[in-house]
Amino acid sequence: MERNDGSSSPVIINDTAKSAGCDHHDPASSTDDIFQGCTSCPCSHPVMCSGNNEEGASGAVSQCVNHAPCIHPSGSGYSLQGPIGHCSEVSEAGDRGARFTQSVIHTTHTDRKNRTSFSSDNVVSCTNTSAVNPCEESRHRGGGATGSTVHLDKNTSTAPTSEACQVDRSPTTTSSDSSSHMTSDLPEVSSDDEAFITEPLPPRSDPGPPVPATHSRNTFECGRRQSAPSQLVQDRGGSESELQSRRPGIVEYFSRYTPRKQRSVSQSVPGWKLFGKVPPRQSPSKQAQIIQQEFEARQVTAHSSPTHHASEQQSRRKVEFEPLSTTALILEDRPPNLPAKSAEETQRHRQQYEQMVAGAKRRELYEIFLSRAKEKWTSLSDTEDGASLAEPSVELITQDISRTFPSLCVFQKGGPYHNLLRNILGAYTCYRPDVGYVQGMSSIAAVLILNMGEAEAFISFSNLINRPCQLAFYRVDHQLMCRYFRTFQVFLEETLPRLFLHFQSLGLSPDLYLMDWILSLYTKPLPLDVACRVWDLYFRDGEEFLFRAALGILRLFQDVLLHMDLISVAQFLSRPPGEELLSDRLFSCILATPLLSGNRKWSQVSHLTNRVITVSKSQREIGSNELFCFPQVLSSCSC
Amino acid sequence: MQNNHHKEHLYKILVIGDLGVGKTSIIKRYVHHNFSPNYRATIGVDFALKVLNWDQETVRLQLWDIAGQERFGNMTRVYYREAMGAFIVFDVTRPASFEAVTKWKEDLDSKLTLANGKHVATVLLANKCDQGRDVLTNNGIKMEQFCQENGFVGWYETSAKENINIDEAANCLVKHIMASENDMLQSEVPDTVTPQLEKDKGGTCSSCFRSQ
Repeated sequence: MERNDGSSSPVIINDTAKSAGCDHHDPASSTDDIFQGCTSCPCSHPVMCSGNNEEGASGAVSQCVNHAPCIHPSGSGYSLQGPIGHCSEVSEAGDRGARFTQSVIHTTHTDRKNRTSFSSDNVVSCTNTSAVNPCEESRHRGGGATGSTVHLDKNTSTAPTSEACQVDRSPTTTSSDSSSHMTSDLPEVSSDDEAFITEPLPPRSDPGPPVPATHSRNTFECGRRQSAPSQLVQDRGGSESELQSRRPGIVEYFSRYTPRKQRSVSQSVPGWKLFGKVPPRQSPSKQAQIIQQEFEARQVTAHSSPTHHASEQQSRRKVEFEPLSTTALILEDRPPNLPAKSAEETQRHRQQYEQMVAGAKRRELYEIFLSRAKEKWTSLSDTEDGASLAEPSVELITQDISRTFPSLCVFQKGGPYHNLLRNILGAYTCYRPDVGYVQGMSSIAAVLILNMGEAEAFISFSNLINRPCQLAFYRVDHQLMCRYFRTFQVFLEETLPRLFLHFQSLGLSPDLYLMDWILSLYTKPLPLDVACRVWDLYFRDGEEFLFRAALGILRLFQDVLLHMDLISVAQFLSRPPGEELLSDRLFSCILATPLLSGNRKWSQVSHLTNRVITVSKSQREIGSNELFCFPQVLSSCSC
Repeated sequence: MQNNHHKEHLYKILVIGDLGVGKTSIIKRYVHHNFSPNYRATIGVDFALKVLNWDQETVRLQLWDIAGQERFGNMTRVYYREAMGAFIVFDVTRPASFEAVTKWKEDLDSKLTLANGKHVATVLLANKCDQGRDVLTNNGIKMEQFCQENGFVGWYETSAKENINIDEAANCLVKHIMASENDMLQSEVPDTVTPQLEKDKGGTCSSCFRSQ
């Protein structure tokens, strides 16, 4: 059963492969080449392809490479895995699959609703690809030429892998529904990808340019037959539907298809010549490992398709939540017969890929944690006042949101960004329970919300809090904070010696104002627009700018501060006045305050202060601050 | 920093309590005579200064508004030192914030002691009484008992919004601070001499407490 279903789905795949692959693979006398072509082909959807076409012959290839969008068939491809599971060569198929997963990412971008189905489609394509590879199993395993992309998958998300693994165990059953879907979908797909589709299918004779592809396609098919025989049967679509029911051994498949293969070859001959002139490129040996990774990733995806009817629903749901694995097909080189990508193009593809990955990650990750947060909220609301006891952060967040930029009136309850801010903070506490919600975060998230979309804001927020400086402060890590303060003191003494002495005489340690400034990332002491400017420079220059900005503020108000007592200074610094003048004058002051102590830069001094922490001398100099650094001293004193 | 002349007094007063109970609002009301529902969360510590005329003497109150989030607890404890008095605030509409009062008091007492070994004068404020008055009127006697058991010198139901009892609470605190100060001055001579002779203790403590 399962296999049969799987075979049905594979058919679709073959079509795609054919369509996509035909163009690309033409040259493919060598199986390795074919592989490359195949991998790229399946995705045929050409999101980026169109641009590539300009390049002439290479255009087809580029399309394949870009492939991201194969997805056309909306619901079709759930069952893909079936064939893979059957084949002894499943592993190879898995590799292929990984590459195809890329397309999944695209799909996710395009349409959330369709995501599940898309992913399944991708899977299908993957399996097909794997089938294509068939002949060369040994080569692949050996680290054959093809895919460079696999490792990317891992980067995108760890979660998918694990899930994928789970999936793997459930081999190949495809639901009959899905198979039917697939068959119906196939034609659509092919039509969608005009370029790709053209030649391979006998019923559809594409006279056009892709002709050469047929040849390659044949190779593909052969490969498929070997690796995933069941797929092959179905591949032919309607004409070969009879075969679906049977499950011939690999050998059988070969024999059956051989004639076809031959035929296709003959068809492809003309096109083949067109592209054949391009000298085959050698696939880089370094890709072997990548292939291996691809393979693993692909296995995951392949198996992810629901095996049993009963489990289908569940597994689909999983698929929805897991950041789908990707294969960076787009990063691969073109098949040898086509002109190589230029450095520029490679670069562009890399960027595109990274965007895809980032986009997928963004949505997946954020949605996962947001849904967890919402679960938490609902479960808390069920238990009335249990909220504050069970989950203090919930109450805390609610409290703080109401007082986040109150003057803007957008984050308060009923305001347009109230829920957004709550979502992001809630999702973050689920994402990083070890950090949790800390006061100050709400203003940071609020600034991000003011500047970007919800998911982007979440990602940016998480990354921002993940920076060492922020992490140290939000975790209230005494030692690390103390190190920052010490380092700051060194520069304060260097750049503003009078003020430094004055503060010392007052017993005003930098934590009294720096903690507030850093934790709120200057949104508290400075007007919002000025704070945003500080952010820009912070992102440009790194954490040392946060302290440079602090020195700039102190420099700006030095004359006033020199005549103030402790409380006045502390009060003054928590909200410096003069907002109108502040901006430009502040930044000229910051500019005039390079972070140099002698010849040492911030990082060097920071390194030193870390070492010196135990040296009493520096503690004495810092004066009252030593208490801050060593609270235990305080407690011992008080007794 | 502190001025012990009879004409002028400078007292450091802590304002602590759970997050969102209205510490900042109370301080703003007390010092600036206004109220806004839109104060921003206190991160770390904020400051305010209040000057009082007290029996022809000047009393300057340094109000240290300490962040309520527990996370900052270890951080902000260093701000306790040299304080002469404290307000511990809770929100009558949130029972959890009252439960935290004992925690805050214990924390305060464990980290801060006057030179004479006594705890600093602490007043308990039941804030937002405009929103939940009945909670307290029904428990007045229990509150008295609670204060005695936990070493508060007094308690007030307050409302920063309606300006209820805030001046009274502050006056109460100042009164007790001055009393304990006098107490210390009288008992100063025997107490201060002894620790100064102990070299080993002096080494670690020199910067914590000003010599008396």
